[in-house]
Amino acid sequence: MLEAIESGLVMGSIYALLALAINIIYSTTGIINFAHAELVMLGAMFSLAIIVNSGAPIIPGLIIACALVGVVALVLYYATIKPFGDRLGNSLGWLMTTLGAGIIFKNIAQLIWGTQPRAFPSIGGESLKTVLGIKILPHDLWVLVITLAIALFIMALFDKTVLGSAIRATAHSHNTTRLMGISAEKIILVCFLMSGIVAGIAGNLIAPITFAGAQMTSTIGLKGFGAAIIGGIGNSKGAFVGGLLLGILEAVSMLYVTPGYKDAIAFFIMIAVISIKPGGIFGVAYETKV
Amino acid sequence: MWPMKRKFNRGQTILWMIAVAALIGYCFGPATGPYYLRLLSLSLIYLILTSGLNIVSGYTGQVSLGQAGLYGIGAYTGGILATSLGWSFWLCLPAAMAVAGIFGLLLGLPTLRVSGHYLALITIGFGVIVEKILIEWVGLTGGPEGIYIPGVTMFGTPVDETMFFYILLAICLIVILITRNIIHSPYGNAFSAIRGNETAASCMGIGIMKYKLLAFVLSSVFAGLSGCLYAFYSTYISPDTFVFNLSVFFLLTIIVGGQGTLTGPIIGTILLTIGPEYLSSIDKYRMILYGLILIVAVIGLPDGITGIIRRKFPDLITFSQPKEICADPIVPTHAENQGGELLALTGVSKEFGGLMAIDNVTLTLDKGSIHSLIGPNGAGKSTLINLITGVYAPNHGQISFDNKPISGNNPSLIARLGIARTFQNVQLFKNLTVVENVLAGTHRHNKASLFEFILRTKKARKIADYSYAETWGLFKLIVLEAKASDFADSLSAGQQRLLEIARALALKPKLLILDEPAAGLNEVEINSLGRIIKQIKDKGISILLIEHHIDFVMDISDKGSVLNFGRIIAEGTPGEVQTNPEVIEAYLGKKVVDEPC
Amino acid sequence: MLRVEDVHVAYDKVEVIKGVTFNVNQGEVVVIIGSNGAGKTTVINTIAGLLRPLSGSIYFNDECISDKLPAEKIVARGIALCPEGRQIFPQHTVYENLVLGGYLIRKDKALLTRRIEQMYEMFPILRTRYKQMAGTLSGGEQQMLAIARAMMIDPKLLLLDEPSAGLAPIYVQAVFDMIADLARNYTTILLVEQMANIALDIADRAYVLETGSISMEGSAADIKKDPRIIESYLGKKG
Repeated sequence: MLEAIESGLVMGSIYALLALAINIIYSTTGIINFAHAELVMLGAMFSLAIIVNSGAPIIPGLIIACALVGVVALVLYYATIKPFGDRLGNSLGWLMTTLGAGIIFKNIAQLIWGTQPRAFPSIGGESLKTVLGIKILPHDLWVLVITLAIALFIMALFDKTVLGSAIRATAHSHNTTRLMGISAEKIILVCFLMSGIVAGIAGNLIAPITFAGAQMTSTIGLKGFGAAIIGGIGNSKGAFVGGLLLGILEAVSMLYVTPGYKDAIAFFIMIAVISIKPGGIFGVAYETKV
Repeated sequence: MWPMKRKFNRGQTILWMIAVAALIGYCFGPATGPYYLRLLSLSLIYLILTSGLNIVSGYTGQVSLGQAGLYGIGAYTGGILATSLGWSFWLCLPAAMAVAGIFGLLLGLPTLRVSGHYLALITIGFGVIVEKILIEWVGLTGGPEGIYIPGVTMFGTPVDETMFFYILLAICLIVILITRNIIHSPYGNAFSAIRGNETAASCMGIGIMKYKLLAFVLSSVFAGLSGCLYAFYSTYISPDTFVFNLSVFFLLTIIVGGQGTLTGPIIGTILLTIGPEYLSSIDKYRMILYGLILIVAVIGLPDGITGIIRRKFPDLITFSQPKEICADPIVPTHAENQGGELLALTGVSKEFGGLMAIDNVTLTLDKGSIHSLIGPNGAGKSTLINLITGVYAPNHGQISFDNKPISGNNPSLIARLGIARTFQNVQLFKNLTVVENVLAGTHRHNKASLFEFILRTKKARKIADYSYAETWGLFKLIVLEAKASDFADSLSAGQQRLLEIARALALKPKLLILDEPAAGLNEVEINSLGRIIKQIKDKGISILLIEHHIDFVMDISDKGSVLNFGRIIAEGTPGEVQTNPEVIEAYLGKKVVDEPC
Repeated sequence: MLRVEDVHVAYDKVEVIKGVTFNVNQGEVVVIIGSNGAGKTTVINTIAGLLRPLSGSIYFNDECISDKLPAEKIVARGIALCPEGRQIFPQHTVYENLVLGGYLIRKDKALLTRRIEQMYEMFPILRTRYKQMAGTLSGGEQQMLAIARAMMIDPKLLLLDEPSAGLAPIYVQAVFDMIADLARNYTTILLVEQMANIALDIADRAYVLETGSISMEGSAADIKKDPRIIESYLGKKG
């Protein structure tokens, strides 16, 4: 059981990273970025190309890879969100366009890097460490630590800095924020950049677990949405907790059900949460004036 | 159903000729060789599914990205019944439709209370769950190995590919016909209205949940049919066909072809199934192409190819005058007892997050009278209307209509009891034409079932004709016949307001609530409005009128109530209200320094 | 300082403002009064840059601001809007709201601190509640916060959209006293309001807006005495 929880925490951290990034964009624009999973995948593939294939040193290589994903996220904004202008909230068009972008990213990656999954080096080597009586891979430990660090960073950014304050303000109302002299669009661009960078980091953390390849994040991406919803979309704390919770629930249920159903269970939980309390764990359900 | 085409005009003639040509082309399908025959067959199979998807996503606006799952359920139901129980193809078809329909119902239920991206996520999740179950439940589905399906026989002779093609063509044509009959019936109108504006649709008596579920079930029945046909056609099915990408493809065909149109799925499906074959050299790039088309189509062509055609040929959809028009379209209400209260509010309160929007309001409206509700901005007038019509439920107090309690009922129920309304910000169905907007108000009196409309029974046709005649009568009243076939959002502000009133009248209400009908109207239009309101009153229909144009209101009301900060501060005849100092203060504020007279 | 020339504005394809011309001179308090639906919010939102006019121009200190400038750049020119319904950020503290108001001067920490201190002086209640979530303040306190927030950049022109809306009568007086104070000491003010009487008390000049057009103009004192005001709200007595 303890092992299950440990591996659940690791996957849960990944889901939490995905949910956090999805949430940053959702809270300021009201849209869910359906290309997010592909951004994560690109993070891993860029690292593969830059570090493994071209032999660049690890740390600068990682930074460049993640920064590149951030840039791709900006391109994503201009191609799939900006064209809607003020009409963004009127339809689900953004869903289709981000979905389309994701499909394009995935298939271009497939063209460039082929369909065979590749091995991806993990952090910290292969020897098991012992923590709290359970054997754990150094990589898993790093996943937990890095996720926690990023989550804390984001929460600190949102709560304690002026930029974070401006981001939260944009999430509440674009027009009122503009009245402060703040360009809502610039804030959204910053959010896309951040979301892309976090996606890149997540990609590098997942790849050693799942192998790197164009298809690596297809299902994980959807679970990221699920985690965000379970925790309460629009809420960073919710995203973090939702991710961990989903990971643990999934891992524990594996003790009782065939592993192949893992994904089905995760989605079932997501559907259940949407049906019962769409606001998620930390969401607030209140009646709004029509 | 609605007498749409009397004489084919030029645009319509060309369209029909193209359609007939395409049909003839399909009839010659087998002549194109086995490879293209397969493709054509596949396009027909897909078209059956996308016609159904169009009903739930295109018309009703519920975006479903889980159709591949329903398609798979249909395929596997057919496959399993054929291999394990030895059922024949002809029995498997209805079984697959039924099973898929049930799953469609299960899928639809959780989506009812949510919308937008939540809905999409539920359908995506559903599709993935189905896919995983197909892979894992080896005992039932054969797992990743798939199932081999025996061939089809008809009257004892085995059916070959050519024969099967014609069977597919026949079924597909029947499906298109059924879809057309559904869309051209009040059911189709209800679907489109829900997509246009859920609140307004509900206030016109359309039960939102019922229709959404119905749309889901219809789409899944078609998907199940399509899946079962696919299974028997290709004689082998495996889980890796029924993946998320396929659901995206289905939705793409609707978007490219044109959502919420009859020709949309046809154009989109044929184009995207057969089209890429001509580009087979770029097969590697196929998905990238789909992704690009998805982005470009949604941003640049939100109405799809059909939308472009409609813009070039605006005469394609024209509504013409029916043989008989209701000369007197405003139906008088039979006052159960002359005089007496029609609407009564007692001690009604409503708060939003700590803010008292309506505070202990007591109000009565007498039968056959025009009662005004006035008050400054933010006084709570629209909130009060929303409470009466069921958009909100009161926290305290009672509302009763015609001696029946209605507090907290949902809007469509209240509408069906006989309360119709217009909205402060015009809430027309912008995606519908003028005719269809008014028709949306006639649902209260639609007494035929979906099957009767699909089969176009005499009863169904009679109901449709009658609604149509009434609708036309209402047009004459508001002098809008010339614009009958235009889209609602092409009308001027004044015309839109009148259209909303016509839609409300189509309900044949006992009480008509008008929320700032004169806003944005010029003098001429205000005079028309006044005339129409007087005509309505003369028929015995009671009116609750909210307005700022105090002149207008005072001219025609019998009684007025003034609302401020959610409370009634004055009540009486127009004259009394106008000179009441509290009322003046409410609008203009206290005089800080008293001016000497 | 502000010149609005023959501006027409459409909202949802309906022409709501049908050619208005007015101006505000430096140091003045000008009020535009009108009943509901007259178009007051539309006018002020157009000046602030949230809406673009169909035709006509708006000049601020002889620079045309109605052409291409987005709202956030207009703020940088020195025009601050305190919007209808206050629109404070409910999930930010009072202090954070003020800091956001001073976003354009955030780099000068000393100036920012001084300004906030000034706001606390003017609105002592904000000092007491500085750590409280703005959404939990009363209506009147929120209005004060909204005005203080707008004042953080020491605007040359302060726009106020119906400061009395939704406020209990006791707060209305306090808020208008505050606005009168501001006028005496600080900025030029353009205010749109439904509560004619109380607004006219603190204004120098006034315009009356009726269904998108200006029907009366003059000094505040003259307008106040004019019986046509009541008619424009409540109609001619039958």
